[in-house]
Amino acid sequence: MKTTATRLKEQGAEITRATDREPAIETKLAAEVKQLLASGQRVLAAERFEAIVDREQRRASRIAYHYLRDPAEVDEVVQDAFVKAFLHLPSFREDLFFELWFTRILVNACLDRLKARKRLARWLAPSDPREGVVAEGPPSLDPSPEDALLAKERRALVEVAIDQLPARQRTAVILSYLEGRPAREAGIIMGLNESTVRVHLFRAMRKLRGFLKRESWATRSRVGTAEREA
Amino acid sequence: MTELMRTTSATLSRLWTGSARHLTDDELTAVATGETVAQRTLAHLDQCQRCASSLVHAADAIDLLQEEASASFDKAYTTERHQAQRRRIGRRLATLVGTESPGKVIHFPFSGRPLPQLSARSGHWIAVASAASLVIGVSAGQLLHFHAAPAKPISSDGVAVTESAQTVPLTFDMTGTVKLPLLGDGLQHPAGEWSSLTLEEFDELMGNPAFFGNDDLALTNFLMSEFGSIDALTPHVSDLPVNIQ
Repeated sequence: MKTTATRLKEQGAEITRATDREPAIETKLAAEVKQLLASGQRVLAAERFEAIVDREQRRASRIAYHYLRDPAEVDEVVQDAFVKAFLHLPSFREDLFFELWFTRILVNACLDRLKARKRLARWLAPSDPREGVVAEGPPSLDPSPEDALLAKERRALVEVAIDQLPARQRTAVILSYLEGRPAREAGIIMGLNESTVRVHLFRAMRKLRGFLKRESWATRSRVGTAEREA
Repeated sequence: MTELMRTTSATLSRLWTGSARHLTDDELTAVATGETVAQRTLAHLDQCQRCASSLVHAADAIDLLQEEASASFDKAYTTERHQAQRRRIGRRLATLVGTESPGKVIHFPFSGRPLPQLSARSGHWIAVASAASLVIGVSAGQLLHFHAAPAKPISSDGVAVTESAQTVPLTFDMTGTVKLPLLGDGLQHPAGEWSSLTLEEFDELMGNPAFFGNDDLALTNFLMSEFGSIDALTPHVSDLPVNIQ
């Protein structure tokens, strides 16, 4: 079984081979932090690392949220990912891209969390789906409650559709479509070929379209039935 | 002829440049995500209605995904939560480098006391204590047994003999009479009196099954252990003192 450090080193090598763009500012900061750690200036290194956190935190939270959909879990995963990155920074190579290296750590953490959630779900009784419908907080201040409701339903549909995708297609969609990364970078993070990522993306899109079409048809037919009954 | 040649040439040209075949999933996705694509792919999209339609569908779906996913995240992940998370990350980093002590752990009331150290010597004590408790247990058991009611002598039919019956000796005076103590029934015959029978009468009495009484017989022959204690308390016919004179 490979250690985390070995795995991260291997990932770093892949990233070097596959990318040809200029290193971003996060990468330069990471190199600086690494030097500080090597010289034993841990306090200063932590302070400089916080600059990376400031730049990456929101993006990391967004990625984790697309996977987990639970803000509390997102908090934990993002914190853990930053701490892990800081601890393993001595094994980071200066000529690599920090954001890809870090995103890979984060995505793996999210997938691990999802697996753990599945394992846990086997031992827990399913909760009532109507639970929490009432306790959603104060009423919306949107001008049209109907529009808000429709938007909410559409968002929920998209979330459910993404959640139903297989892990690889889901990761490809999150990284490429939602985070706007090119297929090459998504491939580096996922450890896949660029073309394979595109194929995953296309298949995912086909599934999503099919699901959304089916669900919207079902919703329309439900509304139609309700109107007829009324 | 010239028209035919022109058409054939155009078809061959399209086949050569690859614009005749439809776009693959890979190519469509590359275009939909705005990545750099080959010129011939774009040229094909201008000519092919089917591929253009697929591209529009894919682009619409991507737009919808981006819009809804972003809105969902913005709603769930507020600025306050973001700031709180940032503070926690800072605290964890500070704990890692030692500038901040980790969260205070409240101890249980007795957690400060050191646990007693178990040594080889304390192991001896355990063995000694076990042996002592064993000896005390066995002695107490013996003592209790000693103070319990003394065992009663067992008669020939296996039933304990009562004390009164044991102390009264059987007398044989060879006078031709047999003296039997009367069992008091509280009405006509008080307990402690004797009755005299001739040997013939005694023989007849012994030969009469009614003499033994159904209850006595039943008790002596009964296999139920529940009646054992009752049986032990009552005198038996066979244990009655017999005076033959």
